[in-house]
Amino acid sequence: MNETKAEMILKIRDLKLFFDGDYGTTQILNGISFDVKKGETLGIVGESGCGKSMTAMCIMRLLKSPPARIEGSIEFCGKDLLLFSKKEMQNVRGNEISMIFQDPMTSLNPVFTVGNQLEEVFMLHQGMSRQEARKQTVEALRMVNIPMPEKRVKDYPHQMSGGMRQRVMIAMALACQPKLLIADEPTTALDVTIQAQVLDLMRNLRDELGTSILFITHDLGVVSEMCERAIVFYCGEIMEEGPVSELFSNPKHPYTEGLLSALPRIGQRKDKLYVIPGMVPPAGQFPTGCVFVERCKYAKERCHAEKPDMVRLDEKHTVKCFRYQD
Amino acid sequence: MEYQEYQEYKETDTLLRARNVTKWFPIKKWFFEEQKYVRALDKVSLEVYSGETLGIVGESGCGKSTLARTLLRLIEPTDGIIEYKGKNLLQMDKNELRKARRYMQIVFQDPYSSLHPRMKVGQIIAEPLKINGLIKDKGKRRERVLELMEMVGLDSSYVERYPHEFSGGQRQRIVIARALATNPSLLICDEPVSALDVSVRAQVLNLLKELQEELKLTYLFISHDLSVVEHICNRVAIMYLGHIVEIGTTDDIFTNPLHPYTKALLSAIPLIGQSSKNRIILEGDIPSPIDPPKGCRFHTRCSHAKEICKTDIGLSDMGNNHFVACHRVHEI
Repeated sequence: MNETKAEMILKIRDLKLFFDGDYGTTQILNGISFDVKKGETLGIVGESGCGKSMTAMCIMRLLKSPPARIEGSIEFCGKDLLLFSKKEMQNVRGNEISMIFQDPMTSLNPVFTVGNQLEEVFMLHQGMSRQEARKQTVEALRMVNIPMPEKRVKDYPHQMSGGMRQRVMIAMALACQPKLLIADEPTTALDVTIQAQVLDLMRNLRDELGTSILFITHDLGVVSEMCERAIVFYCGEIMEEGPVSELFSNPKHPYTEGLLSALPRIGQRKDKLYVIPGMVPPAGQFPTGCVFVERCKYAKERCHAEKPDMVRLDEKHTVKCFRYQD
Repeated sequence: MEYQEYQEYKETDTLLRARNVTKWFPIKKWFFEEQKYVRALDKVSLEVYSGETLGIVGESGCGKSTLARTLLRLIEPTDGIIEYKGKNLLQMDKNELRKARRYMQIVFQDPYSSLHPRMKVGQIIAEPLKINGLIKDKGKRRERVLELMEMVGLDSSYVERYPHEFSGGQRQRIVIARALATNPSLLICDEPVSALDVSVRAQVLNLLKELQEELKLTYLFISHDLSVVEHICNRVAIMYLGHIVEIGTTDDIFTNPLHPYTKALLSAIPLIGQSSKNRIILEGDIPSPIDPPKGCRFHTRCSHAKEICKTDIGLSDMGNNHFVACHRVHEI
């Protein structure tokens, strides 16, 4: 199959997110468009407050509306999720799209056993009986390399370590073999050696089940390891999109460039780290032109006045900057 | 001990020396039950030389934060000796300790919880000056506060603001300014940049480096992020379950790690532009510090473990100030 004709699982076009408050409207996302192909892992990187988690919440339709107002389209397997009713959406969540959150401590219910919570997924989404569900649960836990799963199903979340809890979350998310898995900072709360285990597990399961993954993280190293393609977010907009190898070896957008040189890297000791001047503006106070203009060392007059368009550099690499427009 | 004595002390260039520092936290028990302990630190010995940055690396629960607090005697150790400029901190009474602590300050991880939300920035930074009675005159104290703010890169017009009006990076600057108010020689930084974003983290790391040169500070830098440690530290100590398993210069540790745990730790970091092949993936979780493995504490997860690893092991000298605690270091 030709790469460009590969099946699209998710197609987001011109996604905008607003929060209507008593003191006016705050725009969080502005014109987000991207695709996720079947079986690929797409990384979303950015600093806190850039809207990467909000994009995930929009896809899952987890935002209460009002105050949230979503515009644009989120096509999942050809159907626009934004037009789905509450009931239809419930069938999608956990069944076809599932999500892993950052904090494994708070995403499991402390008063039910792990087995109980996993069984619920099978019973609810696949209509299994409790006995069948229990069997499946043990299998699911074995799949994520939890030792002695027959015993562990009776554990409460507090009896497990952070890494194990995150494995349970992964087992739960993959229970119904979803087409898309959204992983929102799945390893941020874990230690490096445990992170290596969990990433390894996710990679194996992805290859085994053919699930597409939307991998949200702020850790560029993790992206470089897990994803083929990545998107760089800044202030609710996409700054750059491209294959990971190219993005990190040959960044085009000044923001991507700045991020990479601000990162201390092992084996490349320097006296001083590059610092991106200024600060991320708070939501609602984004500049009118290019959102990065106030911190950009290449900024010209035009950048203050107009918003640049996404420029296609080659088949896979796009960047939102005037420097490449002409 | 008076101020003068501290100034005159120049005997060696070891600023802080810890010998066999042990901290066991007792666990609540039933009446007839045997008393159990969380063995957070077990015979930890290290030296911090004047003017250097010593990094302490380890995963959560390995005791690195307990070590930081114990070295300041914020936590009372169960056993051991802690000497600051040759004076044993553990034998000091309250007053002496307060005087000594003037020279040892600490920066915590979370800049959101380490600042009092109802005090203005000016008051926060002036507090250590007041408590230690260093500058009694209000006007002069104000001057010193403004000077400190400039030093850490904060606009001095912010002096009347409250902590919530600042971003995470700026708050960490306030914390650093407060720590520097008393002119300390040792600054213990407990994960100072872990809560910050990449671009802000670079700013704070640069600031710490500048301040070190300017004020001739000594840092004890605690972090779980190896790339940050490699950037800022001269020497690194690796901790595992309350033990120091390896200590040496940054170059030695990163290019020639000897302990199997250090090797695994280094290979576990996801790096930009490197594939994950040849990675050592440790199996299992870190054992509980309540009932830690006997002997070398890493032997339950170590692929090189043999029978001998179940016996106790101390740090042995590998030359060039590189120490490692492993029975089989010469074989692997």
